[in-house]
Amino acid sequence: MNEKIPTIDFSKCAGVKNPYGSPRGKLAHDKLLSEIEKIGKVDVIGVSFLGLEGADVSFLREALVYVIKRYRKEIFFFVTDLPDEDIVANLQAAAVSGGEQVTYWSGNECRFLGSEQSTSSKLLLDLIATHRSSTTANVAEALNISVQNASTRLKRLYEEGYVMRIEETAESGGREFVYKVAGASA
Amino acid sequence: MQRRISLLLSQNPGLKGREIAKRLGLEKKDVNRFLDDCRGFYEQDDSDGWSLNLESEFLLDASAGAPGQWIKDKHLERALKSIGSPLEFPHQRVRILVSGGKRIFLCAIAKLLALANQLALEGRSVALDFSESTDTLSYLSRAAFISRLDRRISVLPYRPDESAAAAFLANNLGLVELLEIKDSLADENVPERIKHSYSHIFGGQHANKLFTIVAESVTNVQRHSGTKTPGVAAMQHYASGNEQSTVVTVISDSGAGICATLRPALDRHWPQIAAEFPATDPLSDPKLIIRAMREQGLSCTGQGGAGLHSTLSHAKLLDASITIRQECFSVSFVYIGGELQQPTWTMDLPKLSGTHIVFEFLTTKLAAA
Repeated sequence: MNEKIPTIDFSKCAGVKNPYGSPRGKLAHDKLLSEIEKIGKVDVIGVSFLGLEGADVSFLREALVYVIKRYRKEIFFFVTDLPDEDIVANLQAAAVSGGEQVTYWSGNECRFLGSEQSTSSKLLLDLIATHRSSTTANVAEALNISVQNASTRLKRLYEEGYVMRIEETAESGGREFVYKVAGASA
Repeated sequence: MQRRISLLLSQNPGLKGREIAKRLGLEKKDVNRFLDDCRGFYEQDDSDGWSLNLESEFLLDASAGAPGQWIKDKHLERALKSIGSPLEFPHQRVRILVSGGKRIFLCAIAKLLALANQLALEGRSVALDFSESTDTLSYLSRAAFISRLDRRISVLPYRPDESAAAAFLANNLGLVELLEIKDSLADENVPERIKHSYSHIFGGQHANKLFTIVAESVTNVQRHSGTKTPGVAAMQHYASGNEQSTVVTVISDSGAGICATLRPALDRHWPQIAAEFPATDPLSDPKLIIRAMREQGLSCTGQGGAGLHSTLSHAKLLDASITIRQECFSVSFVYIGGELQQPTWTMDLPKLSGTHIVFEFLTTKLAAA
């Protein structure tokens, strides 16, 4: 099950080490789409910032956030190797401005960039991120809530683009949804 | 007094001394003495009415408001406030004087450049007079000032040839030369140049904050300002004691200004906000800029404005101050201990078209390197 997740070198899409502005962002956007097309049909794609030194909010929104938004629920993306916390802040602002969540892995820590989540959503996301994936029943048990409640909240996170949803065979033999965080270990 | 009298006479030529005094709330004898002293710049008709002498040279002494050796931004503004901006008056001949061997801080350099270029664009005959300040002229030349100056402007006592120094590399002067803001896809990456200069001296700790601030402002110049002469960006740093340095970054253009570019989008996409900031109320303009800085989302395109807001976000992390000078007013934001102080604004500034942003913060070489 440990299939290698394809990763795109975002610095090649950006073209320069310190890209900025919407016009350059639009160019990078097109290049990123082209890279995604080349990969073909997959569920998850990583986007590595290795080689980039900086990028402003406008660039990141155009080049990356709008691409992630375009593929919502079709392909899940996660980013890695952001150069520093200032670029994390810029990607956070870009995600808010672009109206899409961005999953960012810093080592083993998973962060969800974008609009601020409610406390209950945050709890749920932290739980899934810690275990990389979870079923509705597991979430219900861990948070001491009903299965129905857990199912509703997980579905909302999926709809909002935070987590992936994969239908698998349960131990009981029936079908169940497994919710996963997009990432190298997903 | 000069600016007030000149503005009054430009609208109402032929007023007598007592009428001028009455309208401006000044003493008649002071007004008459002043007009008499400035005979030549003002002229008197047969019935003792005063007018501007438009044949005379409009002289702006940029050093007039500076008591020390340096002309800072506030000194230039003081000189403009006292004499008036030549852009407010129709004089054909304008001379901008830097006297007494005084040196000029970056913020004032950028404004002088914009002022001179805007005058030249109007077809005026403009001279920049450094006859008493040739060292300053040399300094400005190494900062690419002359290359950014409209070719029609004469420079006294001579116009330095900067072509021999294509790579100005003014870093040793504590100044990144005035970089021309070209098309956003141009090879020269202005924000990157400033970032690299900064990190070379102060390390990488805050380099991407500065990069973001410069990049967002430069993008606004490129995409929205409609600047009539190329915008410029530059950085200067100078020691501020205790191993600290003040880093000053300027982004300047001669475009329509933030409010003029934002308002059409407000009318279309945010009519409620447009109604809160009516163009008929002059105080709406600074308040609108404050709103756009504080609130992410407002933009000239109607979608996803992030530049002004992200500038303020990074300013918070640097405990920085930002001043945004528009055609006739300015707005200031100051962070202290990560807290934004009440933003302030200054109205009724002498005319200078465009947007002139000054971003200033303290840093230390030791901590950052």
